[in-house]
Amino acid sequence: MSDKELLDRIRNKDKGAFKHLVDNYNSLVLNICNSFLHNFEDSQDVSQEVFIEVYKSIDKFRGESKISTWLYRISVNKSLNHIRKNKRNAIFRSFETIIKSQKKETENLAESNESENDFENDKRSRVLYEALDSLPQNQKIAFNLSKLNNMKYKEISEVMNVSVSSVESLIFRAKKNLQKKLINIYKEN
Amino acid sequence: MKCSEVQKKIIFYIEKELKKTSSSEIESHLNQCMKCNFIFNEMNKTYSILNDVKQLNPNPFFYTRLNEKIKEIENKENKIIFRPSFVRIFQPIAVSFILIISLVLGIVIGNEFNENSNTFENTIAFDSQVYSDNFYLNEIEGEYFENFLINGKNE
Repeated sequence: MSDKELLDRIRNKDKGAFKHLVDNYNSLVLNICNSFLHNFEDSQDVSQEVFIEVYKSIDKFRGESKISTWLYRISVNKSLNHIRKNKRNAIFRSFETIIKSQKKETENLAESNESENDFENDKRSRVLYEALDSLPQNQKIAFNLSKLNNMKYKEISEVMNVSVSSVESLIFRAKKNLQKKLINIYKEN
Repeated sequence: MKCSEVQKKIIFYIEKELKKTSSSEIESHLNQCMKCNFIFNEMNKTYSILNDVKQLNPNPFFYTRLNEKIKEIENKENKIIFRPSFVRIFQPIAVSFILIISLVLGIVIGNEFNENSNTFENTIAFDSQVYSDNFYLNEIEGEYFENFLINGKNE
């Protein structure tokens, strides 16, 4: 089924066509949301919001870009909005994770090497995601879509509405900033 | 190559995005410099987490839940009271109505108060006279009696 045909059927409130769209893109949308939110439950909630938005605003979509590009754009926007909305909660959550990690740290002392590795990996990923989250918004979007979602520069440029060279520059700067932040952390320790 | 130069290119070295000459220079520096070697190892371990990020599988009941949510939203939107156009018209009408009602109530209560105020004052005056005569609660009324007692005794 072509994009146009699919869109027409969804516009005519064809539930089967909408299910087809959800089944095809659910995984991609979920993983894009997760690359920004780093949390499965939140990513699922936001992907639900993405598809609700698609269903509600399908009449406004003029079909100038691919459905996938449109879906990626909504996913990125919804994820960033979710982060903005939950910033206050995130402070409490990070406080909670610090307490949990301290608790885990004491528990882990007596445990095996394997769990020590897990703990180290958890710590590393937390440091990495914190550094990623602190990047400027456009750099974060370009980097996440490229590195975590394996999207091509051309696709990213369509999602972000910028040129391919801008995407290259954004990713280059994102890597530089990430490197700077991580090296500072290692030097502090 | 200096440490600062190596540390500026480490992430691109990990990503294998550097030219051969640059890469071999960094490699030889890492073999000699303990500090840069430590930073490289740490960065490599941390950055490689991004290569191992697992792709998430959606919940099998995702569509069912989504469908329920859409139905719920549609039902809500179908109820006239939640329609934005209804709210846009109803809100100013409701506010004006409440304002008019409070204004009318204020006038009625004010008039009532004015009408009753004279009778009220009379009642209070009468009551205070009765009390002061019998129980000497009014200081001015009680003055004569006190003076009589004080002066009478003294005289």
